[in-house]
Amino acid sequence: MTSDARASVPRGRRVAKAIRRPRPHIWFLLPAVALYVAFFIVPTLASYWLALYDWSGLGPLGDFIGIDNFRRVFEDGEFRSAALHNVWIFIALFVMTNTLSLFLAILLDRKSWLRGPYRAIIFLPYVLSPVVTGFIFEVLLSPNIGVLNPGLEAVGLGSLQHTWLADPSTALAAITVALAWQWNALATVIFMAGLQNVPPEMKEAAVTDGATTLNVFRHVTLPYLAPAFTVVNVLLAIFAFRAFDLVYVIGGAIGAPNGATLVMGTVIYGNAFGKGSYVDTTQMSYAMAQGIVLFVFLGLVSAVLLVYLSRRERRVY
Amino acid sequence: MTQERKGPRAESAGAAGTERAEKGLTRAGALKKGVGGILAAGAVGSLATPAFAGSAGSARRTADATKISMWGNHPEWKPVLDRLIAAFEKTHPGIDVELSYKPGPQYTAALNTALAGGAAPDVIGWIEGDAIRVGAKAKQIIPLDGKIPIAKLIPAARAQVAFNNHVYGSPLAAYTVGIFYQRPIFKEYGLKPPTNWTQLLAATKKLAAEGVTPWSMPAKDMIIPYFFYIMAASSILGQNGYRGLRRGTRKVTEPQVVRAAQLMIDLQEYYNDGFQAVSYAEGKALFAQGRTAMLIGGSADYTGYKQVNPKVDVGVFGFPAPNGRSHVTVTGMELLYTVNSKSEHKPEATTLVNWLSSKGAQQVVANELARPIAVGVVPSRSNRVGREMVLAGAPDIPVWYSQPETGGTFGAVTSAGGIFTGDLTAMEFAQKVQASIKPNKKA
Repeated sequence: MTSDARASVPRGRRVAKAIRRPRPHIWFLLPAVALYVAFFIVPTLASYWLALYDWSGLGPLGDFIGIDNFRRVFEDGEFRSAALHNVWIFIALFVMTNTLSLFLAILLDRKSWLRGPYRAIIFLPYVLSPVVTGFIFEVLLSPNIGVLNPGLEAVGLGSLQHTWLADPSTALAAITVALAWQWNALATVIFMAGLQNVPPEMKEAAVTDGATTLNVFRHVTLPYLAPAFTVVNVLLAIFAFRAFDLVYVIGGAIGAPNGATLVMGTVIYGNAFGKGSYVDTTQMSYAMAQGIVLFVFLGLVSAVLLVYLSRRERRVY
Repeated sequence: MTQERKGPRAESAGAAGTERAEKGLTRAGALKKGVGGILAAGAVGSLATPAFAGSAGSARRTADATKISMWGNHPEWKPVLDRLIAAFEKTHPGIDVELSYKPGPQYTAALNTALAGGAAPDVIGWIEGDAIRVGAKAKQIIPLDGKIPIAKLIPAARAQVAFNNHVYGSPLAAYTVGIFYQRPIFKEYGLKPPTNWTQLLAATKKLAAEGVTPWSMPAKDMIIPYFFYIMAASSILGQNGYRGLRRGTRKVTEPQVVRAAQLMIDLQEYYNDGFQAVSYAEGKALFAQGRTAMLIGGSADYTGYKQVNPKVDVGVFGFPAPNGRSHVTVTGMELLYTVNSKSEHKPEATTLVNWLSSKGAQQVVANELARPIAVGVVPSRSNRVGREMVLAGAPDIPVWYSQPETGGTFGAVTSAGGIFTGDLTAMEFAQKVQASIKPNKKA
């Protein structure tokens, strides 16, 4: 049907026809959608409702307390401190991702028979479970069984030995290094995928026009990497603010030492299921309120990043 | 309601991780995952699975037997408990017990997660204190009136499982906490168990001067510092003083009691390297290997020391009072076993809980694990450490967190790690602890 012919058919009839048109694919999608709604959407929405109660997570619901749990989230010094730790992790990883990971991607973009093995090695940390990564770094940095301090001693750098995880001023940095090791894998691979999209003829044309290597990188390669930057940085925000398992393994439930390694995920988990001690009272509703605040905050951060970086992409193209 | 149900979930989590890694390479795929990730952040439960996924169950299987699940919180007890369970299965051929372990520091979180997810074991073990009462109120466990020989349990055990005119179960064992010391190290340097704080400090300094790390003080989870503090404070307060604390006539902020917190600070330079990042389990291993000379430990820990170092040679003494007039130990209950109201095998689970408190089972507990909870059962003569532990405490005071008035002290101490980083003074630490105490004049 041409556009003229389509215009001659009344709009109402077009809509009715569209509705009547058979769509067998919807029936195929239905089981998956039903499962998703039942096991994800409904529980998530239920957590919004339960956050309005005073409920430990065990036994019958307590009193309806309205938005008290949400108010408490913003007055909770421990949660605020944990959130700042997440911000710190995000900033540190943001700097590392957009420099080191990009640099590694550029190195690995060169044609060499070693490219495949190196890519596999770089990507390996991302395939490892965060729990395993946490244990690896704990073994590296442990004051008793760690290999870093003896290693420093062996190479004559004994003066740099330190109880990395026991010192509040270095414990979070040590955890950030562990997170960076894992995150760098995905970031590098995404940048590498982005680099494959840079048309070689554009680079060649720039070189022919007399551009230096740095100019080619700045004016040709970087613009073409804009989509990769968008993906990497949005995913990074989610990774940094949702950090939990690796941090929990290294810092424990109470963010040793003295809360220096608490992140929002640890605090929420501790309130929901206990802080890993013998005697715990849980606060499930409060944990749900904290989870919702994290969800909204993370949604906002991601949306802002997505909008800003997407605009930048459009400007580039 | 058995452990096998966890297997597929753990596997699917692993598979999902691999799949995520593979699909994260395209922009569209990555962003879709990202949006999913944002949504997932709203669900608290999504944080739970990786840390506790998977655990080993008993290897024994009987073709037609009813399988019931049960958790323990002392993985180091496995060899003894395996034998205990084997003995039960031998006398009850129709029941196959699948026993798995969640290490102590993670136990409560693991149990709460399982209860919330409807995946708790058939036989639920509760940490002493309020938890079992909350569970009973929430009808997560069933009353076992007339099915447990409650009159044959020691009073401290009865007090934990009999309440609201019902009997809900039985503890497996009791534990007493004192100070373990390495006998060969003490012998080598001519030291004897200290009888007052002056001697305690002198022994500590002497060991340090000889190049020995005097104390294991794993503080990553603050469990050992908690026991250190309540024992030091109890050594000052005594039995009457502790009763006064519960009734509100005494306070831990009194200058003489603040000395307990100050002692923890004063000894800080004598703790193991990086003690603030060392977990309870690692601290115990350090001590068992003889890399430290002293450790606050419970009767239940000795089995673990032997597992780490079969040749371990340790002794026990109570925490000396500052003036040397007494030695304090604190005593509490190990897991309080009850029957899950959602269990499909309640009669079998009840049989097991009942059997755990029997004289036969309790003799094994007394000889090899901890303090028995059955009246009239005593450790065999070969269990020197068990006997020493019983004799070490005069007075023997309840573990503070087991009593309603002082139940909050555990949370207060675990959130007061600032005492080791210089962020809290001894008095500020004591004030935090005092704020968590809810005095009751009738206590």
